Amino acid sequence: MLKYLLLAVLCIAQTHSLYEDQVGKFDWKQSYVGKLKFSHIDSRANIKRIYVASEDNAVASLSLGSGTLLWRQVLEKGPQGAIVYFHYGANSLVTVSFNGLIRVWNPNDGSLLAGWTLPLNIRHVKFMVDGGNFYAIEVSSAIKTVLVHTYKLASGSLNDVVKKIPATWLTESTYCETNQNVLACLVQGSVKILFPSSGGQTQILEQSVPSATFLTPVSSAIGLPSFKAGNVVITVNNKNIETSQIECNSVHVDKTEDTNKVLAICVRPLSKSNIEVDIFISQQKISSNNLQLKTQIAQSDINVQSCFCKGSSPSCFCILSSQDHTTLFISTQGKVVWIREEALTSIISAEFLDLPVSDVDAAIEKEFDNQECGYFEMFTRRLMSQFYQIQTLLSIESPAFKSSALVRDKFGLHKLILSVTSVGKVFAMDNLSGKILWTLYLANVTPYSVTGKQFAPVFVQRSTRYVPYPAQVSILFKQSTSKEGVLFTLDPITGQLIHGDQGQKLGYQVELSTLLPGVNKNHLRGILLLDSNNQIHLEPPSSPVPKPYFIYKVHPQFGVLTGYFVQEDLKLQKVWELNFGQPVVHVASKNPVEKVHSQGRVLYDRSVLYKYLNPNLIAVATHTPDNVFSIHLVDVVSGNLVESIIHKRTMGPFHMVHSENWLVYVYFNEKTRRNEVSTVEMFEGKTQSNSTAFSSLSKSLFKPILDKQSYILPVSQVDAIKETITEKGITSKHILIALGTGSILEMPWMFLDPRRPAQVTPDMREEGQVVLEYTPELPILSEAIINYNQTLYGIKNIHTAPSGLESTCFVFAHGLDLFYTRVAPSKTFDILKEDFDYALICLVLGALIVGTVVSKKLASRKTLKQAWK
Amino acid sequence: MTANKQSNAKRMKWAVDFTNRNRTDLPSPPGYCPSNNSVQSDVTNQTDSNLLIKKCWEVALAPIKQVPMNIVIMYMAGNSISIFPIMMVGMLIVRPFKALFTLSSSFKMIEGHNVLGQKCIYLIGNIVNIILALYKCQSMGLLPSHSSDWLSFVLPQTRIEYSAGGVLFS
Repeated sequence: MLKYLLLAVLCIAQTHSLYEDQVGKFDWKQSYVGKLKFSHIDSRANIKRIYVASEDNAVASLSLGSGTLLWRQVLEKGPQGAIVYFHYGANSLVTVSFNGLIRVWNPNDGSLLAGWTLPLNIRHVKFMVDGGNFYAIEVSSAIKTVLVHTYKLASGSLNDVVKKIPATWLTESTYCETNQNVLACLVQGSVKILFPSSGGQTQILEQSVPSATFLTPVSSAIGLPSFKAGNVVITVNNKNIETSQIECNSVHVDKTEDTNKVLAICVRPLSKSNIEVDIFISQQKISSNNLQLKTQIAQSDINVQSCFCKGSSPSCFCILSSQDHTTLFISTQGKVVWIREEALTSIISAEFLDLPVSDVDAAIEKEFDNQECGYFEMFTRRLMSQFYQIQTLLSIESPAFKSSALVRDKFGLHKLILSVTSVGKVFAMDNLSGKILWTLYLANVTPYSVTGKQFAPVFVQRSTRYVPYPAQVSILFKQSTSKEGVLFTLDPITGQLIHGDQGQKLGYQVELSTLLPGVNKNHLRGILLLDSNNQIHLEPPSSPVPKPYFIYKVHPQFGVLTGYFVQEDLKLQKVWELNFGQPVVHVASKNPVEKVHSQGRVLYDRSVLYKYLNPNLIAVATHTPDNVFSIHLVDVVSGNLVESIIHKRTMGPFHMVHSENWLVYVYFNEKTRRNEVSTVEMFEGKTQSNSTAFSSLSKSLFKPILDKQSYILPVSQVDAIKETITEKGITSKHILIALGTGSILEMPWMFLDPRRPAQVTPDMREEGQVVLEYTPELPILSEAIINYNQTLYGIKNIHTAPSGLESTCFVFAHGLDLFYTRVAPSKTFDILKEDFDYALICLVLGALIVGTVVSKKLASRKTLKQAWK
Repeated sequence: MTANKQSNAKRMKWAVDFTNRNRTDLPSPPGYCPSNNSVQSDVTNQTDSNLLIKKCWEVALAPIKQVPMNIVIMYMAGNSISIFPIMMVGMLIVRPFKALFTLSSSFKMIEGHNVLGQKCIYLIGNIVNIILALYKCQSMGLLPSHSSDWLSFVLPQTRIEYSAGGVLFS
């Protein structure tokens, strides 16, 4: 009991949660829903709202005026939770998920009104809601009938006998769709319209559309079920069919109260940030407007999700969704009301980048930039920079001060987050406010896939430190069609692409890419690209390659690791090969920017255990179909297998972090049915084999000492893990664990330490070091949750980056929500507390100075008096 | 001025002048024998040098005599690091050093005598005290004698081979 009490006290001492007034001070959260799948505009209610369902299985309500999220419900993850049907009507919102769950939501607050499971295989079933009934329509080409199952929406109980509509025309290739209370089927050049919900005799309408190859439901705000078959829009109006020819791809059908005419809205992209919106009434264009967007969108396919119109010369408001997941709310009179960047739910890579120095500092740096210029030039430079300083001092409004918002601050806390999404959209965000600074849409590209995860490498070739040169970042994608690599090089501060819109086409398939450690004379770091013929390409071609340089390749399917030596002529020479014979699920190498300050670990007897800091060490995780999970520690230069650890009866998802001299990995133990964390720490021993340099090929090869330990992580699911990183590596490391419950847990390394002793003896405690006794279960403390009460749905990954302050580390988590904060694992030892009393300290200092002066005067007077006595 | 006059007046009032008295005709006081003077001074010189040597030994042996006392103080101070033990240890270590630096001045009064032996003893005594104090520091963990004390000066190892790579893109 006492032991646990002590542990609890220690935990509280270790973690440092936020105070209430600090909420939102260092962090921000943005909520998204993902790419729109279904939407409905409720224009009739007092409070106008938009209801949406997304590809990321979220149901939400947006405010009409600003696009902000009013409520959001996130359904099951993955294809099982995919929303296949969405209906709004009569104060309820109905969704059907792929797993057969039917849910009824309260549109006002998003609360669940009813939920029940459909006892049918959902694959060939279409849905319909009419009145208080839910219809599941089974279109069976085998028995040539349409079966209509009727359920009560509120309870899910069977309401009626199964209605059978004979349909002799049904074939294998018949494609059916529902829209409102109408079922439409495309049968060999004609569209059959059925009304399954109407009682009695079933009427079937027919419209011949000879050239139609597909059938899509068309949105309509005021209850006109419409379908688009080929270029023909079929509108069912009071059991009559109206048709109209439409040439554009994306269309919405509506009828204004005043005109009683069917109108169609078409959207055409003109350029990446320019679209045209046309309104047609009986094939006549009555209005056409050009919209200038503040973002870049995909030109290929803009979908009109839903609209509502009013007025006799109709003015409409529409929700559009583009291929790049952007949601736009526009007015047909040529105004963009709001834009939601839903592509931010599919971030695959993110980088924290430094901002440039202010123009004044830049002028000073420019002054000392060139050493070889003459005296006269130096003198003029000095004069110029001082003139510049005076100018900025006198007038804040001078052009030099324009870009003051995006300048580096003293502590390096202001940075830019560059995020690349799987749809090819690139965003730059201000880390302090979360505001999007610029967007870029890269067309016709797809990301790479590495061990089942989408991935687009981002290379920071030059930071903003080298002032006359702008910062440079490259993003590697592959072309959608040819699968060849495309390199997009850009200035991250302005978002300007250097090689134009199409990027730099490489002309070969990239198998591997890496950023080289050395810089060329322009301070530009090179990119090494390996094509499928084992040929090395450098970008820029003159980049220096460090010597000796080794490259390793991992074939994930077969579990084969191959090591190569890079020769002088940049040819690869195979050095070693390891064959695990098991599919590789994860490869973890160390963060190349990581620095380790302390080379050893002080034991309680004051001796040192030196860390095994092999920069060439990677951890390869393999998982066999019979649930054996193995971790192999491999030196990629020599091919030496340092250690293999095997866990039987384990399941994914696996997460791994490899940093300094340790490894942390999370897996699901199938035997005990729980998540477990294992840690491995590597040491050289009590002496260092070579205190100045580390060589993987050194003759005196030794085996590092490994400490291993496993802990129970009492959570149901782990979405991602990441370690904190700081500039000099002095600050202790914490592990950030994204839990399935939507919180990010900050776990001190002390808890995960594999050297936690079974019994803490008094002399272990004596040294003032905190030594925790081994307890199998890790504590989940609510104080250690860095996103406090803000739940983050579907966290995909966490990114960490060092700030200019040694104590502070940036954290950026993304998923359906974006969350940014900063953490200080060893507390903010290099920064004054926010509530530091400057006034008091000034007052005290002032009083002391005054006191000294006064007392000095008094003392001299007194001595004078005494002398006279 | 007035003050000066006053003090002059005061001096005049209390001044007694013996200079104008004739002293030569006065008889010697009883028991005073001027012929014994030289003999007596001889005796006192003899005893003086004995005393000096004795005194010298006392000075020389003082540090060694302190050792048991110091041991007791050290034992009482304990090994915990707090203000009083630190002060005590500081005193223990500073005092012998001070004594060593003022070695010549401690033996100044015995000028002309050969006190090399005493000086040696004195030195040894102080060194014993210093060793004791250092031992105390060591047992308190104040001496950088462990490798962990030099850990922060250990530079990171430079890497000789560079490597890169990863899972093949698909």
